[in-house]
Parts: sequence; structure tokens; C-alpha cells
Amino acid sequence: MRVIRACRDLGLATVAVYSQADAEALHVLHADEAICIGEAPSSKSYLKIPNILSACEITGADAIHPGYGFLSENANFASICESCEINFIGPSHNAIALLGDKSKAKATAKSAGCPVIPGSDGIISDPRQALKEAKALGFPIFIKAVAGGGGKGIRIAHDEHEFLKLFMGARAEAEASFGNPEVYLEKMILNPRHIEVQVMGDKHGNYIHLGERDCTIQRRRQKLIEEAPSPVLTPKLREKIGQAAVSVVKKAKYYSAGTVEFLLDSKQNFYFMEVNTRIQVEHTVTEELTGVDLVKEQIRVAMGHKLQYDQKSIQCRGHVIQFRVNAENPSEKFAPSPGRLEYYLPPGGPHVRVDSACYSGYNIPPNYDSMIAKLIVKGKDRAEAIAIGKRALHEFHIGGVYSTIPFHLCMLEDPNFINSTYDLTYIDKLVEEGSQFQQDDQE
Amino acid sequence: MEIKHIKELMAVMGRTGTKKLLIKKEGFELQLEQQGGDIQGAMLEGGHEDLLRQEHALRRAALALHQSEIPGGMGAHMAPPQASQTDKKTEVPGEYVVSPMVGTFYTSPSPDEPPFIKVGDKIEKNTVVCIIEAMKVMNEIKAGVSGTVAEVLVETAHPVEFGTKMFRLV
Repeated sequence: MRVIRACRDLGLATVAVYSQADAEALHVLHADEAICIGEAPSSKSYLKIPNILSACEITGADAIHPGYGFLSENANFASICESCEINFIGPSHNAIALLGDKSKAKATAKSAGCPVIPGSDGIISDPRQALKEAKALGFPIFIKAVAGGGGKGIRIAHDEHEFLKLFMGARAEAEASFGNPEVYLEKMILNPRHIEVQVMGDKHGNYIHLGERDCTIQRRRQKLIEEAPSPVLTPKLREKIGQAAVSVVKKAKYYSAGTVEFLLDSKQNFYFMEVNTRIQVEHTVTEELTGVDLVKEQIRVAMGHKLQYDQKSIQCRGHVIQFRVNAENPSEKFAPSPGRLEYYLPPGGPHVRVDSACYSGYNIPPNYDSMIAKLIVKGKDRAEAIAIGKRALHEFHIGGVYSTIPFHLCMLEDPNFINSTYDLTYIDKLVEEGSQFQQDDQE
Repeated sequence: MEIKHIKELMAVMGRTGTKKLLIKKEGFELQLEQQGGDIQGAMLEGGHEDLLRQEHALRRAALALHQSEIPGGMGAHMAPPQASQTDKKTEVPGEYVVSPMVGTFYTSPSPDEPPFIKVGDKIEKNTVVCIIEAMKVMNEIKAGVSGTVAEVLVETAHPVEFGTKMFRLV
């Protein structure tokens, strides 16, 4: 839907591709044309490159917007589009291959002068070498798959005794999940916060950043709440992190939208973590903060235009918070809850944005992710954003499936959230302690 | 005919209680029929518009109409009607050969050769029934089911998507 809206504004016609499970999806109903590309399993539809390219061919489409997930960070797919003279709305396949590989991305960041998380110099295949490096870096230590993404393919070794077993296990899992067994080591930063920077480049060598987002509220590495600006950065640090992000994409000649992710430790040191070579779910937060339509800008960049904005013209105003409303039951450790939406009544009013593909009566298929809607609120400061968030969440009514709305309402009363004294492990700890995320929970 | 015109026609039919509406223009025919609460549509001839675009337009019109008629928008089930290519009101029962890929459908191996199969032919699972061209590659498509061809549902050189019904068998 986001892409269709941007295209409508730009006067571009749209074709939706869909699997048989998505025949009644909103994007299918709103696009100018729609082509069924295969059966429900992603491998038979959304990942089936020939079917997607054929859909382009029979409709005469000039460009593909890959969204996020699926083929959006597949350098091979981007390259195939290029050779078929279909405009892939995103970075070049070379930039995806370089920055999409976590190990190569880290090397690029290092050469751009960006501080990186201490770790192995590239991939390590030999278990004995790996153990040696792990001991030198110091435990606890992450073992990460180079081809991993979306928070998957990561193991933690707490000491040298469990290291070898976890190392071999990580390689096997990486091979099975991503077709690439290679892993690298990374020192675990304690009590980290997740700070990411939205960047945008064009095909003429211009690169800007649009401020950071703080995505520290995560459960099992899945983001639940994102906000901008980060409540813990000083203006000086903000400037430094923004410039560091630009230096990385400049080095990689990365055009289109992307996100450079950092970890911030308790001493206000920041470290490069990885690059997401796509538009992200939480791009909406930056759009509301800066007033820049990132998807329209992506399309314009793909068409060969220069960026409409230079660094000076990017203004960050107010405070924005996004709540991911997923079909999950927060009282049952966020167990997925697909099924029919008996009713779907989103909120409205000032400073409230809802991006969703759901409607009353829609059947949420079990095959893909659990997102129902993104609720984005804006206030003149963080306190007002929180107040508007409460207002909007109370207006949001979903029937037929469980949703994460109670979790968000709970968070907005949580003293740690209000004071920004949480880190990346906070939600996982609460779940482990048996928190039901009902409104009468006290911390 | 644009989707907004189809939507207007369906709304007028609902309000006036018209049971059946048939429109004929050069190269284009549209039949709308009211059955119970649903309005079924059918495009009888492709003409300049292809099957996929027409099906899509009908589906959208029907869903938009259903949405506007539901009181309060709550608790109603959306069931976009199936646009069939025949002038029958409901789905004709039978076996179908469906498209396993996205591409352009051809009834014969080349423009000057006769079609692979025609109405009345007996076919087996391995009978080549058509060609679907995808990305300049001509793929010979096997039936996958056996039976006698009752109807050819797609015109040659028209696009098909995954799951498009191409032949009806009995």
C-alpha cells in the first residue's frame, strides 16, 4: 500500500503481485492491475524470480519496488532486473552485495573511518582459529551468520567451554537457513541501545542522512516500538553518528534508501553494526519527523533525479513514536494469532498516522508476518507523543485476533520506558519473568 | 470501460432492482447479473481488454460496493465474486487445466500451425495443451489431468497469471 500511495502521488500506474493466499489483500485490490504469481509458500510466489519478471513482462511494467523482506536485499535479483532492463527501485546490485554481507559491510565501515564493534576480521571458518579469536576478544561473544538478516542466524557463547559446540551449530544453521555457512565473531556490547540512521543517496553522488531512530524496544530481535529522535543522544553525538552513517554509504556508493545500524553502549560510545540495504518498516517514523516522503524519493532516485534535499534542508521536528500492532498475544509470549479480523477500527485525529493493509473481515494469512498495522504518533516532545500514543491506542479496536495493543499501553505506563532507562534486553527479560503485559502490571 | 463505470452500474442495479444488464460495445461485452445479494459479472469477449484486467476491475468494483453497503463496516464477510469467462451465473463444475506460471498463452506451436488441442479432443496428463511464453522462453505446458476438452477459456496471445483457468474438461 505504501508503494501504491507514492506511485499514485507521482502519477505512476501500479501492478500488484500476489500469492494465492493474498488474493484479498489490500494492495491487490488497490493496484491498477494485479497478477497472481504462485502458491502461498513464499518460495513458490514472492521469492519466485521468473514469475515476478514475467508479471513485469505481461503488464509492461518498467520498474519493481521490492518492499522489504523477500527479494528486497537479494543482489542476484537486483542484477537480473538490471539485465532485463527493469528498474529495481533500490541500491545497485553491487552495493547490496557489498553492504548486505555483514562481514564486508563492517570492513567498508572500518575503511570509512567508522567505529566498529570489536570482532573477527571477516569470516572465520576454522573452529580452532575461531576459539583463539574469541578468547582474545573476551566473552560473552556473538557468533553471527554473514548472510543472516531480520535478527536470525545469531548465537551467543558465554564462555570457552560452550563456544566450539555453538560455533559448529551456528555454521550448520546458517547453511540451512541462508545457504551460506560462513560466520563471524562480534564482541557482545553490554546494555546496548539500538540506534539506526536513515540515509538516502542518488545516482549523482549525493548522500544525506535524515536523523536517527531508537529501536531499543525489541523482543527476540524483533522491533516493537521505534522512536525518533533517540531520547539518549546528545546533539553532538547525534551529529557524529549521522555523519558516520553517511561516510559508510558514500564509501559504498550506495544510492536509494537505506539504514545504517549502530549499537550505543552505556558510556555513549557508538559502534557500527550493519546496513539494511532496503526501505524499512520503520521508515514511517523518519517521514513523520522530517516531512520527507522517503518512498517517493526512492522512486525519483531510481528514475535518475537528484535528491530533492541537501543535508541542511533536513529538519527534525518534534518527537515521533511508532507502535507495531501485530497479530500476536502478548500474554502468551507473543504467540502468533492469525485468522479473520472480525472488526478493524483504527484511530484517527491530529498527529496520528496508521499504515495498514487490513480491513474488517480480512483473513490474516498464517504464511507471512504477523503485522496488522503501524501506528505512528507525533508530539511536540516525547511526553506529548506518549500522551497521543495512549489516546490513539485506546481508540484502536481489533476483534477476532489477539494484538499487541495491550503490550503498548503497558509500555506507555512503564517507568523505565518513560525515563528511557531500558536496553535491548529489557523486553526479553520481562517476558522471561512472566510479564503478561496487561494494564494492571506494576514494575 | 473504467472501473468507476462498472461500480456505478452495479450500484444503480442494486438500487433499482435490475436483475440483469448486458452492455455491448465494439469489441467489448459486459454482463452483470444480480443473484441474491451479490452481483456477478462476466466479460463475454476480450476484445481490446484482456481477461486479467477485466477480472481485476470486477473484483475491485464488487468489493468496494460490498464495503459501502455494510452497516458500520463490522462483522461482514468480504467475498469478491469470481468473474468467469462464460455467461453462466455460477462456476461451472468440471476439471480445469490451470496455468502453472505467469506469461503469454498461445494455443498453437507457432502462428501458422494448428492449435495443440481443440474442443472435443481427448487428452491425457502428458498431452501438451498450449505454450506459455515467459521472458522470451516458450514453455510447452502439459495438461496434468485427463479428460475431453469442453471449452478453451483463454484467447491466444493473451496474458495468464498463476492459476488462470485455461481449458475446461469433462
